Amino acid sequence: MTLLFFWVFLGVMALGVPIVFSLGIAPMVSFIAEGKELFLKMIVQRTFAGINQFPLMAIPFFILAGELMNRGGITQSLVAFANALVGHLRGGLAHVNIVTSMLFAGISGSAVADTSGVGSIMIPAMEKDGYSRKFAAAVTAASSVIGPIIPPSIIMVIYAFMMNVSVAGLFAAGVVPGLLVGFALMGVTAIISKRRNYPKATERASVKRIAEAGGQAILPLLTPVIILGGIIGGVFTPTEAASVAAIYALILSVFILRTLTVRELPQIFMRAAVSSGAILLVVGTATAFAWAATLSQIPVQLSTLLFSITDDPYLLLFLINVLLLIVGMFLDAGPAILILGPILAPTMIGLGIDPLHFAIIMCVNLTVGLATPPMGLILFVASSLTRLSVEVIAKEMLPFLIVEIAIIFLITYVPVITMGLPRLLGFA
Amino acid sequence: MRDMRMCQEPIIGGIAEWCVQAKRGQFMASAIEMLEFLVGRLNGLLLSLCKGAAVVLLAIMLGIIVAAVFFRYALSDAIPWSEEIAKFVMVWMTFIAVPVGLKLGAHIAIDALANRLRGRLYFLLQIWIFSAVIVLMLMFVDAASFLAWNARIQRASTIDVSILYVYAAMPIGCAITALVSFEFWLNAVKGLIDPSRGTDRRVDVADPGLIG
Repeated sequence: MTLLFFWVFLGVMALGVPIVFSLGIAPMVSFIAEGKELFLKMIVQRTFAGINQFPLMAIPFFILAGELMNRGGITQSLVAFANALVGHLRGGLAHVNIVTSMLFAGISGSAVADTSGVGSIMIPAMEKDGYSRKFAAAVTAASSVIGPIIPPSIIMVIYAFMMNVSVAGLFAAGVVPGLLVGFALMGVTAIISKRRNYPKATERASVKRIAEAGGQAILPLLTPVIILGGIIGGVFTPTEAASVAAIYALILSVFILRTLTVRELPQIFMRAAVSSGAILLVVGTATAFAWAATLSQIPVQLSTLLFSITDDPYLLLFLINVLLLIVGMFLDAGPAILILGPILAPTMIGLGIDPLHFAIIMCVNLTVGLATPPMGLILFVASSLTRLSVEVIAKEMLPFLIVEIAIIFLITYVPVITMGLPRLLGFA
Repeated sequence: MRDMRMCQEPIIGGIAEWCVQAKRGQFMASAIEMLEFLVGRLNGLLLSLCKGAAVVLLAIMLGIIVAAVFFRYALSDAIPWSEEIAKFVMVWMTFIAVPVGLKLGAHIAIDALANRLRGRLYFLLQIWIFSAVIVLMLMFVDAASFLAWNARIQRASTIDVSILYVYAAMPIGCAITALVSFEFWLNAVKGLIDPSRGTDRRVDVADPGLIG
């Protein structure tokens, strides 16, 4: 089989067909072109098999938990807590935005949920406080990248499922890199805020106020403890932990905080089901696509090509990172992982890179790709929240993006950032 | 056609209006409009069923898994069928949610080209996009019903249910997706004939929260 299906995929996608369908059309067209009609049923069979997987059930539950937190005003209490913590710094609300994203990341597994949840609260607030709209959008978009890096993480669930890595290990490995991205973004914000003389809160919140705001946020902030503690401690499988997180968010917002009524629930469940359906079908068709890629011997060709350039793992990692950054500009993280993971990972693991380490490199890189134009979901959402064009936000985001790319390379070449925590917990 | 919804009986009102337009000689355009309307009605019904079903299925799935955790720890009596059944429910939820997602714009696409096109060219692109989706979905319906039928003798491992009922989600979900695409396709054809009458779907992420 030739590379035809790959070109068909790019062409069909560029012509505006939703990615989930392009992933199915490409192998179909190329099998028909090559007279291998028998394989057509296999595509459908692979799609079905790709979805019919118990570990993937964590995805709808994590999405439901995030949706409940967003609609139930829980995000608001995270903002209040972050404000008490860092509101007094210069560029206070920009820091609040980033810290909220870090807290939110421990509850939600999706970058886009982070952008729309945190953005819809923080962007108007920042504008009111004298920040330009584009800067507010840029900070929101840049900090949303933390969402799927700090566990839980939908793309890590997908990676773990595809590559047979432990989800618990991946979650543990994501914690430090995620915090690192957050603090680095705060560093950039500090420099920009000083240069542009952005406002800060008049006085520092007292310890008492911090404790108060923390008390308000403590129940939602227990979610990551339940999820991580539960999974790492071996109490639940990741899917079960996700279900417990969702039911916890439900009880919290309906019965304890009373920010949601039971009548609002069907709408929330419907939205969660629809966005999970969209992701799960992508997983399905991308599985079929990846299978077609295997038939076409791309994995073998690509690793031969890579090895012909160099067999130095560090140089290869550099090349792979560049490749992933380019891919991330055009492809969503989920399909990119499903298609490229099985191609790249075995080669690199064969060269002695730890499977968890490589997984995190890939996940962080492709998550940053969600914020790079022309095709970046985070940018799309930030753009629709602010009515600013994707280009304007992307340009304003440049300093943040540069730092995030620098962190990708830092994570790549300093494995202990990723591997420290999993080793401590016995996952590697 | 616009005020059709105000009619007491919309379908009869629609047919009446179609007759009026057909007399005026706008036969093609009004026939398409009529067909779009009828398909739209059917889809409206199917999609509200899908939405309701998706809500219920997600709730059932959550219930099963939470119950499984509860039974294992609180009652020390693990449920043997929980994972398999919940997985089947997830398959149904996924395929039922896909057409709803198409209607609500939850499936991401690269719209750089669409954003640069105006008038008839834009609708031409829409026709291409939905033709592609329809063809793919029909092939899925065909292959999936074949697979489903072949799997009818296979039983689930923890309960006595034919796998046919799990596989059936795929042809059904894909058929509804094809119908929704057909409605959009008809609308685009209408737009190609008369650009002022087609619907411009360029909503820059209508509902950001929906995108995974």
